[in-house]
Amino acid sequence: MQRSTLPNILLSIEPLDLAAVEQAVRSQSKGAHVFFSGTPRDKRDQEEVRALIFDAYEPMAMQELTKIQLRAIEVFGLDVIYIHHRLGKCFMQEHAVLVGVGAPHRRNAFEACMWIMDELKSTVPIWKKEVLTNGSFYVTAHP
Amino acid sequence: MEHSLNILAFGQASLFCGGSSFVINAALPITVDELRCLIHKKFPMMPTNYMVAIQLEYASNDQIIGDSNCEIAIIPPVSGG
Repeated sequence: MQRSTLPNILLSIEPLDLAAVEQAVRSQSKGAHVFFSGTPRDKRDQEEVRALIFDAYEPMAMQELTKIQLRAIEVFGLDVIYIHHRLGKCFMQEHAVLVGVGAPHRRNAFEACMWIMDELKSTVPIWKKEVLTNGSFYVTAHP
Repeated sequence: MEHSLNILAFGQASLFCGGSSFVINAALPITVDELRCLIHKKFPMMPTNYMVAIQLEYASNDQIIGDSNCEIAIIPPVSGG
């Protein structure tokens, strides 16, 4: 297995790179690979959403993401895990969040990916605004 | 003697306090719950469904704040992903 220089946990104002995450997972794990990409939805109650804007309490968000990383490795027996989240303005065709995991068997990889996203959405201090035609508005937290 | 606590505000909470931080004057030590009461007095329109973080960790309502230099933040409901 090869090591990768790609950070396992990343908050980035630059566009996220799914191909890089995929390559990093494949190079470090054999068996089951599961990838999740979250992208902006283009409608809010019939209104056009033009982009998302993410802001974060960055040091705490990094700490909470690291907790998720370590817990996921422990609970699901992952070989490798990447969690990358976009900050700043995210346009419609871009990734808002990427998760990539590798495990020996598919069930653990699928369940880990779902668990990671559920934890991220409930504990990591990141906030999302939708940019509509008449301004930008914080999105109410949702499951 | 009162101390000045610098409180960081994020997300929706920043809209109600007019920026990314504000100051609460309080006699230390106080609990997180007591801090919440002081914040509510200063910003009565701010929704109270936020968590408080101390030194980058979520804090319980009975946790004690005894140091005015600790980093305190208001964490409204998160919406990443």
